[in-house]
Amino acid sequence: MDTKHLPEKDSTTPTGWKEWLNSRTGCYSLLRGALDEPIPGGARWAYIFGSGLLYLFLSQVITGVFLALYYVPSSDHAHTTVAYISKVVSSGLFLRSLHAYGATAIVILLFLHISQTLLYGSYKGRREMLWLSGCFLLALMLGMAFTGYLLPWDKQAYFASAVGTNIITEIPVIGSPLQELLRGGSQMGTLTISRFFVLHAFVLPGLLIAFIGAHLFFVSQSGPGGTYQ
Amino acid sequence: MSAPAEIHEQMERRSFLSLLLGTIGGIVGAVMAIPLVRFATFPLRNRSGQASWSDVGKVDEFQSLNAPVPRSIDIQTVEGWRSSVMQNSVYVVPNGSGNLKVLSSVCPHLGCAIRWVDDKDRFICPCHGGTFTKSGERVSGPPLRAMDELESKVENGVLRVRFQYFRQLDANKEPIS
Repeated sequence: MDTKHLPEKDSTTPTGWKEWLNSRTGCYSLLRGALDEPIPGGARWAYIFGSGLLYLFLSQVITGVFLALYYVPSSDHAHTTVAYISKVVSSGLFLRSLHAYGATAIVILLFLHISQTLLYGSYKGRREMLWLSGCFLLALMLGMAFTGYLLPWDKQAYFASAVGTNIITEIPVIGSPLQELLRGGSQMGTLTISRFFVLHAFVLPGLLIAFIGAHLFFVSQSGPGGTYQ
Repeated sequence: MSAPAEIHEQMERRSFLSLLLGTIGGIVGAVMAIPLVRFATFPLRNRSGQASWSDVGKVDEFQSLNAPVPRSIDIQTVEGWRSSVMQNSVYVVPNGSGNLKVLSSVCPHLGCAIRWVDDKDRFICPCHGGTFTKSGERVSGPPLRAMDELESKVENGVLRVRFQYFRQLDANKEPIS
C-alpha cells in the first residue's frame, strides 16, 4: 500500500477514543496547539504566573463551592456556620484555610504577573487587548478578595468591610447612594452579607470566568510576547 | 549526530516530562479529592444522636378515648450546626383495656402525613390512598406495612413518646438511625 500521502503517525496524532473525540470536537488539537506552542528564547520561570493564577482560580472555585455546602449568608448564621465548618466538619479547617490562603496567593501572583508583563513590555501592540482584559480581571479579583473578606462575619471581617464601604462615600455625588446600595441599607447588617455573598459567589465568578475565557483567547490570538530586552 | 536522532532524543524528554506532569497532577488531584469527599459526606458519617422523648399529654385526657386523636409533639433535634425544636404529629390510639398506643403519622409508603377520617372510620393517606384501621393495621393501598407504632411510656401521669423515623417502602419496620 502506498502510504506516502497519509499523514505521518507520531505521538502527537491522537488515536483510539482521543481520535474519536478530537474529530468531533477538535479539543485535542486545541490542547496540543496550546501546550506545544514554541516559545521564542525558550521556557522561563518568569512565564509561570499566568498558569499559576489559572490553577489557583480553579482551586478557589472548587473549595468555594464545597464551603457553600455548609455556609449560610445571614448575620445570625454566618459566624456559626463558619465555626461549624472549621471545628466540626471533616477537613473543614483544611478547605477553609485553602480558600483563604489561596485568595492571598492570588493577589500576590496577580502583582507578579502584572510586574512581569510590565517589565518585559509584553503588553504592547497586538497584545493590548490581552492587557486590557487583564485590567478587568485585576479589578474583578480584588472585588472577590473584598467581598469574600466579610463573609466569616467576625470582628475583623465586619470592621474591614465597614471601613471599605465607608471609603466609597468619598466618591462625589453617587458615593452615598452607592454605599447604601452595596450595604443594603445605611448600616452594615444581614442584607450586607447577602449582597456580598451574591457578588462573591454568583456575579463576580461569572464575570471572572467570562474574562478569563477572553484573556486566554487573546493569548492564543496574539502569540508569545518574546524575550526580555 | 544526525538530525533524526536528535529529534528522537527530544521526543523522549518530552514524553518523560508529560508523564512526570501527569503523575504529579494525579497525585495532587487525589490528595485534594480526599478532603473534598470527606467534607461533602460528613453528614452521612455524623448522624444526629439518639431520638429523644417528648411529652404527648396527660394520661387522663386519653382515658375515655374511643377514636384516635392527633397530638402535636415537640422534638429536640440537631441538624448540622442548628439545634432546634421540630414539630411532628402523632396519633394516640386506644388499645383496649385502658391501654394507649402512639402511632406515627408518617406514612410507611412514601412519607406523607396520614389523617384520621372519622366518617370512614379509617386512617387515610392523602397522597396515594393507603388506608389503615383504627389501630393502624393496613387495609388497602400501596403501603407495605401497618402504621408505625412509637415507643411510649407513662411518667408521673404524662404520656411520653420517643419519636423515630422508619424506612419507607419496606414490609418490615426498620428505624432510621
